[in-house]
Parts: sequence; structure tokens; C-alpha cells
Amino acid sequence: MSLGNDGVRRVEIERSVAEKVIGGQADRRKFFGSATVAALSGAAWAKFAYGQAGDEPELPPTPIPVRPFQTVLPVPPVLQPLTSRNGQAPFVPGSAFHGIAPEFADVAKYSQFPLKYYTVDMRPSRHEFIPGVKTPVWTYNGIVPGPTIKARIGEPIVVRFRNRLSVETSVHLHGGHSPSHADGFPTYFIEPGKDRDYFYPNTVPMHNGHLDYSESISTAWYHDHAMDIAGPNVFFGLSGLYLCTDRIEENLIASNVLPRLDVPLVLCDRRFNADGTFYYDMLDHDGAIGDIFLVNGKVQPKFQVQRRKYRFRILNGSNARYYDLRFSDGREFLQVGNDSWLLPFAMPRESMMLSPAKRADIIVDFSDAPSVVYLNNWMAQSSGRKPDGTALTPTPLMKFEVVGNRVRNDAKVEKGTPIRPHVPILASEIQTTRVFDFGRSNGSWVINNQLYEPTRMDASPKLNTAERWIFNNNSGGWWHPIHVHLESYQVQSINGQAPPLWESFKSDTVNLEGGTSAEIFMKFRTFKGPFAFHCHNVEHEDLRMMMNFNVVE
Amino acid sequence: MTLKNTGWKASIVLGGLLLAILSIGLAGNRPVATSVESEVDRPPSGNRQSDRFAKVRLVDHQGREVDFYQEFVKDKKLAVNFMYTVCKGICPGMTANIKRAREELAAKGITDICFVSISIEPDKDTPERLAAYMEVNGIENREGISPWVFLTGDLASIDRLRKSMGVFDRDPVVDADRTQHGGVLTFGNDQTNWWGATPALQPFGGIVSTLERLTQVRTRNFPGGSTMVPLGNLE
Repeated sequence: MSLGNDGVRRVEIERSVAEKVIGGQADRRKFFGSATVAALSGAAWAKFAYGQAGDEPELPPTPIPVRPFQTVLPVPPVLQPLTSRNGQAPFVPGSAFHGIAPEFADVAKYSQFPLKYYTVDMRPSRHEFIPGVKTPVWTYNGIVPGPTIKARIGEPIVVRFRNRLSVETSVHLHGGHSPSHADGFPTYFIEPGKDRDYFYPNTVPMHNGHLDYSESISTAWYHDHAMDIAGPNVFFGLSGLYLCTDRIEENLIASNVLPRLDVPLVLCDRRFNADGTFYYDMLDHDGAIGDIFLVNGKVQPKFQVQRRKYRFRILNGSNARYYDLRFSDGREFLQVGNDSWLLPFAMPRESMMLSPAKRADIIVDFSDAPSVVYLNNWMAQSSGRKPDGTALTPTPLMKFEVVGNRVRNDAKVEKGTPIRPHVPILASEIQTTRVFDFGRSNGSWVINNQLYEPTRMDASPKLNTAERWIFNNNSGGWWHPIHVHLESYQVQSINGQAPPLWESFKSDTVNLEGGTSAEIFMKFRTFKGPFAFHCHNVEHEDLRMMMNFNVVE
Repeated sequence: MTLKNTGWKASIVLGGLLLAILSIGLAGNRPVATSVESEVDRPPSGNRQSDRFAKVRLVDHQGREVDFYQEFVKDKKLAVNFMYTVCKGICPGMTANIKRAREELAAKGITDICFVSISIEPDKDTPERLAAYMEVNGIENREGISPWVFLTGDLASIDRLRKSMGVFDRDPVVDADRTQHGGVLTFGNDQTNWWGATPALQPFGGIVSTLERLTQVRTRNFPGGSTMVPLGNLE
């Protein structure tokens, strides 16, 4: 395995590819071309070793030559439930849990369906992100991304997460209505060598005495959330998708409104050393930024598609990187879901900014596409502080090879097609307003000038009430994507203006650019606390840009 | 990535080989014991964090010149903060918290984390002044508690070290403003290569639990790790 340990990084994108990527736009600068982008001599490397001119840390570029579009896009396998033997449950839920939460006791009442049982091992493994290069990783069940958990509203599951790593972990189901003990609270650790059962009720809250199916989650994900170390744990590989469905979504697929072809695209950026190991700076508290782009754990893969509509569940699984996604031929696509929730109707988009942890459920119609289409990232970003702005040239994240003739009887979804009803939270329902200022203090990250303290409750909303929360980012230079656990929220305004249409319904993560203020409405209807809310630049979260809320009766 | 890193890895492999040979010799037909590499578990990142630290010579509170890396970092457990003696802002609180955390850790039997406080006003903070600061704050080095050393030196070296340990602000105005200087305790274990930072101004109990969790050598030999149910769904 020759890894170019002369420190020369070659970006091997052929000129012809580059031209296609740019789409012949004359005003764009030349693509990287096939030439060497940055030839780092031994002397140039010195600046990454410090002790020389001694300025701010710069990140060493990945010294491994990368050829894009060599690997076929893999799809993470679906986690299979354990089978019961002789009518016996595969394990007794809660037996490995330190104190049984009341929700366990109500399982029988909640659902007519028997619990499904799963186990997931958190363990070290090796993964080929770059062809021929084996990278040591920390995984769920040995793979990156972890296995996809498929669930259905009304059918509770229990997952026994078994920690076979050397540090504490805590598993957060991001964008779901989970009981506190199964929500990945930062200090509800799974200690090394121990197990913990996570009970996912896959429930929806009540609205006027009925189950509110507007709250059914669709594209959620699970990832590590352990106090102090969520950044490295997630970077090393601890994340996976949690896709949930219900009758409304199933009907849309059965009636050929939404495409059956449903492919997850987990976007990540990583940085590597010459020996193929991850480069991760554990003392970079601005946020980890990689220079190698991965989709479903493979560097810039290729994917063959038919001339028809596809559904893509896009997750920004990066710790700190923002993406501005567009297709190379400028094609319009439809967004049908924002974060965990399907939107009321399909909305046309041409570009899409995705902050860390955000998800977008989109429909792409390849029926009239050229034979090659790239999914491009136009956002340049060199530090965790914030994006640098629109890139001069895009980075193709993956390549679609469009084959065959136009497929007949394709999915019917188009602009404006109704997807899922929405129940707005009304201003008249708001009982409490809380203001949270996200800032920096003496090298740490703070909310309302307070460091995160796991035993302190910073807000105690009453169960079955609605609140207005205002998130302010007063620091000009930093961007913070803010995520609230437990419930969806409805963004009312950003800097006093109505939010973009696709963000006007349900979200679990909203980005705060520097100097930005966001107003959200939220209803606390499912479980009692404690829960966390925090910046989802995971390194900011680790250095305490987090608070707790405790839903109380 | 660097020669040093390779050397470190080579020594571990060599150590593992020696251990393997030894265990074959001692245990006859039994399977070869796990190597040192798998017993002491490290994060999967391959870069050695301490390779990034500026290699500087500083002066301790006793006036002794010290090689920071050799003395406090190499193969050691470390907790560093940056402060200055006449600071009326966050330093008194940091010092009090670190003092209490160090005592609590000693009560838990953890006495091998070297605490280092480095002056960011080194032109005024002479070794004598640092020694006086320690005395005023009741900081002493004795048996049964982790050592605590105060360091001064030339500002350029200290700034280089500070930035190389991630304690800086990307805004140069904020970075130069001493009242807004970094209030974090940067800690690590050079053997496990696990590093991090935690606010020094949080209640000391948080510092204790973070240092206890993350500076100790971890292994993956889990005696209680056997499970009640065989795995049915692993790939």
C-alpha cells in the first residue's frame, strides 16, 4: 500500500470530470484539474508540527491520494431483531439497566404489539473509507455507519447497547420522542464492559384526545452523546440511521406517491494520517473539519440509478461541517422531509444548506437527467468556526450514473403534493417564554453565560404546555446549530423574518449564524425529563454549550 | 506521521512481541496472551496529540529550568491551565477549583496526574512570585497527592505552547485580551493518547469525574463482559 508518505497530496480528479462538475460555467475558476493541488515539502510540513513560527494550529491535509467515484455506494444493512425461543423473550428488558423507568411498566398498555428485541455492540473495528486503506474505527456492530434501525410508530422496541469500548458511551436517538432514560442523556453512561437497554416506544404525543400522527418521526439517527467525549466518539464512527414509518407514510408509498426506491445518504467529512488512521485533534474545540468527503462511509462513491424518481434521506453526520448541496446539472428536486418529520407538502429546491445533524428527505427525478450527475457541495469550510462561504469550485460528494430508459408508472409526487398533515402550535397556546444566549466565555462554550452542568436543570417546562424559546447567537464570528431533545419544534422566525418554507414546520435542529436570533414554539407532551439541548457542533457541545430541561407535571 | 510516532508504535509492537514470547515460554501450549497494544486501549485516531505541543523550555516556581515536554508530557498524565498571579478575574476561581479537585482525586487514590499552571504574564510572574502565589493559596507538594507545578518563561514560548494545546481564541483581539484568557483545564494521558479540556470554573466535582474517567489507562479486558443472551444479529 503506497500512501504517498512524501507528503504530497494528489487530487486525482480528471479535467474532463472537473468540467462536467462545473457544468461549463465560464465564470467559475478552473477546477483543481489533474495537477497537484498542494505539494508539501518536508519544510512545509513543519508548520503543522508547531514550535516553529508558532501561530494558530493548522490542520495537516490528508496525505493519502484519493480517487473519487471508484467505490459503489453501500447502503447500511438493517438491524435484525433477535428471535424469541420457546415463547421466551430474548432478554428481560431493564435487567441491565440501572433502575427501571416507569415507561417500561406501561409497555403492555401502550401497544398490542410485542416488543422487538435488538442488540448492538459498540466495539472497535476496521473500515475501508478509502479503497485499500483500513482505518481503525469505533462502531455499532462493527460497521460505519452503524446498522439502520427500522421502526414503526406504535411498535415499541428495546435495544440492548453493549459497550465494548474503553470509554463511557451514551446513545442518543436524535429526533425522536424517547423517554429520558433512553434518550442518551450525557451522564446516563454505559460504562465500558456494561450493557444498557434503550426502550424506544415509537410513540406520538396526544392532541385533543387523539394520537397526533403529524408527529410521527421518519428520518432520525442515533449517535453517541457521552459527556465530554461525544465529539471523538461520533468522529470515530458511532452513528447510524433510525428510520421510522407509520400508516400515513406507508400509504403514500403503497399508492405510488412516494418512490419505493429509498436510499440513505449519510454525509461525513474526515481527516486521515498517512497510515490510514483518523487524524483527530482532541484539543481543537472549534469543531473537527475533515478534508475527505464520505457518503455512507465511503469516499466520494458512485451510484447507478434508473431514469425515475428516487427518495434520498440525507443526513449531515459531520461534527462541524456545513454543506451547500446542489446537483451538477442544476436540477430541481423536491424536499418532502425536514429533520425527522415529513413536510405537509413537497417543496421544490435547487440548493440546500445542511447544518450539522440536520436531515433532508428529498425526491430526485432522474428521468430526464444526463448520463452522469454529481451531488456537489458548494460550501467551503476550513475551521469549525463557521463556513468560509461559497466555494469557487464545488466538491462532488458522489456520482450518479443514470442508465436505461425512462421508467413507466413512476412515483407521482410532484411540487405541492400533500405528504403529512401539520398541526401548528398557536401563539395563543404559549404559556412561557425563555431566552437562551449562545456564546463563548474564557475558551469554553456557554449558554446564558453558564457552563453545562449535568445535575442542574436550566428549564422546567410543564407537561402538556407550549413554550416560546428564543435562541440568540450574539457572537459575530461563530455559527451554532441548536438541537433540542425530546420534542419537535416549530421555527417561528429567524431574525424577525419568517423562516424558509421548509423550516416553517417541524425541526429538531436550527442553525444560528453569527448575530442571529431564532424564535421557536415547542410543546412538551410525551415524557418527563431530564433532557438536553445544545449546540450540535459536537466539539462545542463537549466544551459545555449545552443545558438541561426537565419536563415536570 | 513522524519518526517519533513510528518509534512509539514500534516500541509497543516490540513490547507486545516480548510479552508474547514470554507468555509462550511460561504458558506452554496455551494461546498467546493478548498483546500490550490490545490491552491498553487507545482512541482509534493515529495522530499522537502531544506531537503537536510546542517543545519549549520553561522555568518552574523553584527557578529550575525545565523541558516542558520531557518533564510533564512524555508518557505522563497531565492537567494544564494558563493563569497569572495578579488576575482578579477567573484565576482565583480556577486555582481554588483545581486545588479542590486535586485533593478529591487524591482521596480517590489518584495521585499521578501532574497539575501544571502556566503564567501568561511571565515577565511579571517570576519564580519567586509563583512560589509566593502557591503559598498564599495553600498549595503544597507532598506525598499522597498529585504534584502541582507553576511555570513561567518567555512569553513567546508560552504563547506557542498555549496555542499548540488548543487554548486560544481565533479572534486575535480576544486572544490578546488577558481578561478573556482561556479558563479551561487541558488534560491528557500521553500513554493512552486521550486528551481533552474541561472548564476549570465548573464546580470541582465535574473536574474530578472528568479527570477520573479520561486520564486513567483503560483496558478492554472486561471480566463481567459476558452476556446473558447469545448475539443473534451481528454481522
